[in-house]
Amino acid sequence: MLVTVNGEQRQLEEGAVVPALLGQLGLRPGSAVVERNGVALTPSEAAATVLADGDVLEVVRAVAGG
Amino acid sequence: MSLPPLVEPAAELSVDEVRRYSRHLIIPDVAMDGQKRLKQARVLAVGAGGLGSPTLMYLAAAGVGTLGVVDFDVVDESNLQRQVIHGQSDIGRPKAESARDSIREINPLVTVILHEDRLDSSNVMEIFADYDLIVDGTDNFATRYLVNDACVLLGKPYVWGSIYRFDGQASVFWAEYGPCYRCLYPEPPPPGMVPSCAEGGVLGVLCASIGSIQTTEAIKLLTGIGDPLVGRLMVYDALEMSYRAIRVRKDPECPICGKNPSITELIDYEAFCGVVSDEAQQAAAGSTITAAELSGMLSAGDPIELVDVREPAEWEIVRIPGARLIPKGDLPAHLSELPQDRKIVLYCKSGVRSAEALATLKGAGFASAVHVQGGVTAWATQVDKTLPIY
Repeated sequence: MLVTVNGEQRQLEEGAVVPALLGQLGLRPGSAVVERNGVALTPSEAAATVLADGDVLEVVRAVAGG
Repeated sequence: MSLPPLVEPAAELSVDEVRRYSRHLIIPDVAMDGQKRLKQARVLAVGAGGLGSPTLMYLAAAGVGTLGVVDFDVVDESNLQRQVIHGQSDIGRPKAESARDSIREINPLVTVILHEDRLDSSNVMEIFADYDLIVDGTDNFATRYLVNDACVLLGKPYVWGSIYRFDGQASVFWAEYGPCYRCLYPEPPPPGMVPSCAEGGVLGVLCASIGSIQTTEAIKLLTGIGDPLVGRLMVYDALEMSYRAIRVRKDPECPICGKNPSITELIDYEAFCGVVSDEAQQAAAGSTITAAELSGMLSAGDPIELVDVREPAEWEIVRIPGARLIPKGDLPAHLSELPQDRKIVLYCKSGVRSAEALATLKGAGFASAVHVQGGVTAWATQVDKTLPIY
């Protein structure tokens, strides 16, 4: 299936969950905020969310610079 | 969502104060009442660095009565590209003292309290207790989790901002009214995954973009005007010149402010965030050499393969003679190019990334590989002092 991540299309396996996508992006679940179709998921929701074809995702990774 | 003012108004403003703050006083939403609240307010800035600089300067100019500054560091020349509260003549001085002097020059009516200690679990509660609001501009994950947890436990609002290269984020975390930092980011990235500004760089003016959001939010909370940034994460992209607000919610499973919190007191934040991963620590144990030892090996003509695992932009600034560049992220794809018959010596800027890369090499069977403690910075301070340090 095809999803859009931060404006770029990405092919994912059917039934992929959010943590699997984050893993592909090299991110640890829990250290990124995921917005799915305009709604931000809490970390516990993200862990259990199965992605669907056509999902539009924004992934904001934690940074600590100051 | 609007919230009541955080601070009660001071008794009165002096004639000098009325003159100084007149442009605030004639805004109906601020007016005399709001300015008196600012005068009465006590705000603590954690870090007088990139974000702390504009925040402290504008909070001082705005007439916040008491400003606390937490910083144990000294001003370095490489700070001046963005830390505008410090100047050329401050190099080598404690940042807290330099910040205090700048604040006094901007507004002598502000009382400045310095906390020249490293913030940790042993002192954070006592320091925070005296302030109405905490503004965070530190440069590492461990301190951010420490500040968040202390604010949750003390019930204080936490005005948070974070920057990297061209990207910035800001929010107000206040467990009483919305999510805390852990509701968004319950876990830090693995050590070595997210470079610091010292490793990855930051556009200097980004500090002003994010620091101005933090200052605005602090003033709004103190005076009770507008909609505070509680429950919203601002994401700024300087290259696109876009600001986006993502609505974020309290996580019922949050380990500190959720329904069944597992964190009920401060923890060991250095251990929680780590500096180097366990794999890297194991790889580096017994396989770490000093810059002087590398110099000896090179002079003696030992058969070694010297590999720089930094980024090309860093390679352009300074490098150790005889090295080849393979950025850490590209290393797995270039393992077949590395010689099996020579000792491989890795280095980076400070020894963190090279330890991570060493774990990759050891895992691929390069058992004799080593890395250089302190990286090219150690080389430039101990072996060839003519080289630049960045």
